[in-house]
Amino acid sequence: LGSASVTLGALCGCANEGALGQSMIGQKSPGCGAGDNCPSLAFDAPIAVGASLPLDIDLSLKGGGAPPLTLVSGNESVFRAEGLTLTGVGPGVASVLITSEEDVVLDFTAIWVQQPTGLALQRRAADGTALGDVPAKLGLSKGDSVLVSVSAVSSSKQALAGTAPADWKADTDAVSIETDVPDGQARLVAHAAGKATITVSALGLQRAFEVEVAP
Amino acid sequence: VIRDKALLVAASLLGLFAAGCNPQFQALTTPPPFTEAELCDGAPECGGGHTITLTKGIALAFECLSSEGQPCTRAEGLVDNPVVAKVYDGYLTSLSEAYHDNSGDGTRGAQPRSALVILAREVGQTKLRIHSDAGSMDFDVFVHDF
Repeated sequence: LGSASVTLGALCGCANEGALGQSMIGQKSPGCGAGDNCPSLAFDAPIAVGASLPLDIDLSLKGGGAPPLTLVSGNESVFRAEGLTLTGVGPGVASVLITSEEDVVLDFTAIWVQQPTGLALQRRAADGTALGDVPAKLGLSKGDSVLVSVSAVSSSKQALAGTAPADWKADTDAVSIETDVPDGQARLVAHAAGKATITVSALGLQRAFEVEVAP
Repeated sequence: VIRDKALLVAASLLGLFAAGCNPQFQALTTPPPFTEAELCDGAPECGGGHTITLTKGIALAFECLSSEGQPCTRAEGLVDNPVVAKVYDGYLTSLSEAYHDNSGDGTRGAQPRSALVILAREVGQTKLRIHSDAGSMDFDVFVHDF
């Protein structure tokens, strides 16, 4: 039953209800800009230390309307709040208050922050949908391109929430790397037959994989 | 002796009257796993004191009610040491239940509920003083580390 609930939650992509039941708090879909109407994703993992997570807050106040909102961090040594984005600072848990003018609290929820111990790489569709893990050896044909995202994982291999600036490098010209895509992703373009080792660095961690380009 | 007894009776009645007029408080939220956010409003089950115990960084919302169970009006909280904790006004979108007291005064309609939110900012101890039209109450606030 537990695993079924988890699966349903993941499929649903629902946001979480605030402690006072007056808001739904989720994370913005990858690539979703300010003002874009994108589905909210469940907020079901700690934020990685050093990573940032834009929240998607849906107030459910009777009578409607949404006053100007300010997020308040319960403990700035755990996370900072800037606008509607939270950034992990150190391991721990603290409340984030959703406040309006004159320090009136409309709702709040708990935010966990955890130290990342590794990086996970995933292939992504153009709309951000995860297509699976990047294998240690990725085969491409000349002219192919693939979108790859990087995210942090904890020591228990749980995927952590949030994105951080990532540095992508290829050791040969067989593959070029375009980083003009959102949320720390990169587009790998197979230019010439051969091999390349791709190395990504983020949050003080590194991960490498090999790309083999067929003619 | 008679005068002393009269004073004692008067003091007891005053005490009962004061106790009867005290506002009541109840927690509205639960703490996240492995943390504390508890309010004790004088019940023997939680130690009999008026205390709030929190983990640093965690918030607790609680409701203020008159001795008759009606929402407090003009409830206001003040923390002695704002480094340790901060109190906010809380907004609740739901109304209280309508109240009928059989006194012939009719039914008192549903009212906006009265809530405060306290946020534990630093490890330590302080006092939260709450004033409202339903009466006043002081809570000892204890903040522990995570």
